[in-house]
Amino acid sequence: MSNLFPYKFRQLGDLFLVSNDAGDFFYCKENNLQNLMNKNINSDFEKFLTAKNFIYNNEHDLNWNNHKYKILKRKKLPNKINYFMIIPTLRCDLKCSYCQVSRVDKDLKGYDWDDKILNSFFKFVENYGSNNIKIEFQGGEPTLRLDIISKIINWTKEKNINAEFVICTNLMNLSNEFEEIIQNDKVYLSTSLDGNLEIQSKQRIDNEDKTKVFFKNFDYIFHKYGKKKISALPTFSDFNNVKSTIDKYREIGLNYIYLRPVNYQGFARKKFPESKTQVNKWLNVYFEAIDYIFEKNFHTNENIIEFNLQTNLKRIFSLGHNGHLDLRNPNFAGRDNFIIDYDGKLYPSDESRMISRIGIIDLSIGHVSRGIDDKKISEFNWNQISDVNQDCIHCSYQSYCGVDTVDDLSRYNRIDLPKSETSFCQNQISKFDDIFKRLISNNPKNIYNLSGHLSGIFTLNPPYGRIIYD
Amino acid sequence: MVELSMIKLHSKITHNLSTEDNFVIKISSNKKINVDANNAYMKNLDDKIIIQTLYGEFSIFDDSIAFEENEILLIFPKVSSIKRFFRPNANSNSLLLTEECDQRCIMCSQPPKNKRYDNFSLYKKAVLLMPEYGHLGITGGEPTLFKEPLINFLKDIIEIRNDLTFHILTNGQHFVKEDINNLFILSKNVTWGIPLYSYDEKSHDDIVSKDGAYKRLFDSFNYLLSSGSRVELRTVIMKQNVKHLPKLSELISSQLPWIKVWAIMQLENIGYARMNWDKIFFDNSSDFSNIEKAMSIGLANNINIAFFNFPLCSVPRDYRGYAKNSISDWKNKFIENCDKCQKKDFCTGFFEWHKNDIGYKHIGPEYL
Repeated sequence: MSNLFPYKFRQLGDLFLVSNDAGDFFYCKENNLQNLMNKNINSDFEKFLTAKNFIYNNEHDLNWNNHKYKILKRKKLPNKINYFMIIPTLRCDLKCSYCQVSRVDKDLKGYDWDDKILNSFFKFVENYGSNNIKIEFQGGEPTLRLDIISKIINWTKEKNINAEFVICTNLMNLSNEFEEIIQNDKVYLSTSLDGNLEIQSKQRIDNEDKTKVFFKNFDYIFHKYGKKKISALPTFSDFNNVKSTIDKYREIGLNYIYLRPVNYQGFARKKFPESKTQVNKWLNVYFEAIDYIFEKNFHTNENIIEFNLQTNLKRIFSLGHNGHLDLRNPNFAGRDNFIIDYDGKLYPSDESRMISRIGIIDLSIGHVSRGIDDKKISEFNWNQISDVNQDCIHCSYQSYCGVDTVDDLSRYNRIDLPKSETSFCQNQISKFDDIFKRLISNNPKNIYNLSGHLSGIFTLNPPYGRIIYD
Repeated sequence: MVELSMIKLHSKITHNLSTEDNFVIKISSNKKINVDANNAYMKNLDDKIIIQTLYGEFSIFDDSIAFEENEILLIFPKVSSIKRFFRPNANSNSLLLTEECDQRCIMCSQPPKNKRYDNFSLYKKAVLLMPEYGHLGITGGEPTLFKEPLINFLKDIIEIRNDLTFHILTNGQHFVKEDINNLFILSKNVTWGIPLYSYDEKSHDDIVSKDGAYKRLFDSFNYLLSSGSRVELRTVIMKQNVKHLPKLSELISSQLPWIKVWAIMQLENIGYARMNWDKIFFDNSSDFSNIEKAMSIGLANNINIAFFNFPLCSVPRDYRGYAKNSISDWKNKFIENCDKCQKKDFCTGFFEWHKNDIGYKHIGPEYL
């Protein structure tokens, strides 16, 4: 009898999902789960388990090495920094109700990068950056400092660094100088688009005329440079708007949407205190929205991809999908990305910058001029591994899921709550449950959309072969 | 019929060379070139090409040959011939090591013969003349029939020229556990192109006409995985195995997710494939369904899939991005219909020996 790799299981309706550390999975009925547990495995079952990579004959045989390889692929992070999010200024010319970053007024002094920070940034990239990097300009409103953006772009050119740039802008000021930057093929824009004119005005600008300027500028960029140039992110403070916002995205021709509620961060903590606890309410809205997207995708020619769903699916199916800080394990700080704030402080993620700013805890991990604080990083990183958490190691979804200490800190001021009581865990469990139910739903709408989210090709061919043993 | 004439890779020469030993040279038409043991000067005249080497001159009277600047040639004085070893501008350069093989694949484009060309010392000199980051294919027959000298050859070269990379076509029947250390040394520079025709043991063995081949191959896969080797898996689609493609995709996703590329390949109608054409050719322009099913599984599992030798118009639009320009420049052509096609520059075209009347039923610009 061959040997079983460790496995975990979880009941989903009549079936049990069986999964392992390598992320391999299958479904079976209770009798076969019993057979598995009692090692009462007939040759047919053994063949199936071999095909699914749940067993091995000898240490170091192909199944053994393959299992090891998959675990490694799921955990391996890049060695060099390929992503820098920088905040050249904290100033902003808007005052959105849910602003997550505690922006400051646009006329204040002392909230911008100075030359010293800029030069330190160049040295930092030279020392720690990989040859292919992405630089995201956040704020505040980064276009208030187009001079810094230009200097950075030119510098990467001089240094022959293969770089892409994303400018996260409110799109209120489309100056000639800004457009000159936009014309660069390596420059992309990202903006907040919450829905139609009414919603956008209400949540963001509180002024319809200004909102009209935003839409005019958005249309201009979208049509002049094509849909690849600009991406948009909605934020929902009123959950009743989700469907109309999806419609708006479809109407514009945006194929990508990231459905997320107001983040319990920054200003939003005061204005939307309920965002701390309303996981279930949001999840209901979210799943309805997914159904809505699936339905429309299935019956129209234009397909929309939802970012959470895509990430969760890829974490299940695609080995090595470890680029998203929101969902990976380990989720080490100071490894492949850094946030550099307006004052030069380094943070492991945007969220950690936010909670540091409101004084809950100082999660800065160094300073761009003074160097990286290795001791703090290593302390922090011990909590960024689900493999040392007693709740996670028993979870069937562990190999797909991530770990996010910062979210726990932000909501609960502590990191030692049972995982099942945290928003992060509840959110992910529900989403994985939903996906694993859809996978075996025999509903063509689900197959069509799941395939599309995984490969970009929407088809009725399922993204898997035989996954049920009965 | 508009057809390109094939690029010739061999030629006869007339010469006054003072040596009978085979040697290698890099040729240049730059008058300032220093003619020495490695470098030769090429003069293009109206009716012939003259090449001056350290050992004397030789001439080529074949006006269909146009050498490239810095091309590397192998010179065989005794038999008065040359082989074009490395053309810097070619889309692929390959070295035929032997025509012997221990498998008899039913679609083999180069049926085995008792001929071997395992002249490693000469090849080593030629390879060392290759440009920076040059790439060379090594084919057969079965190159690993000379596994020890081949591995030593590669190790020697990589030690001196770590910038060079190699693609070696092999049936994967000869790797053993003891090779793991050597394979590891080669792993950054060598990609092994290995055929796998079916998820099913018997079907694979039938196609390669060798019992036990599948099992032996999977042993090798383990050594290749253990050594961190790069593997390009190759599946030629035929009537015999196209139905197995979705299950093969499942197998690759589960058991071989570490391969670098899965190449799904169309048939090259020469050798055994030409003889067996009616029995084996599968027209993907008429039915893409099994390939689509396989793609859905493979792509979801992050398998890097590429179509080799598929004319673009034979592939449904959604999947065209996966079709590569895989046919070597010396043996590809376009057919009459292609003249009107706007995607010609992005298309691999057809094999030189492709026959329209027994090929794809639904191709042409109207299908793009």
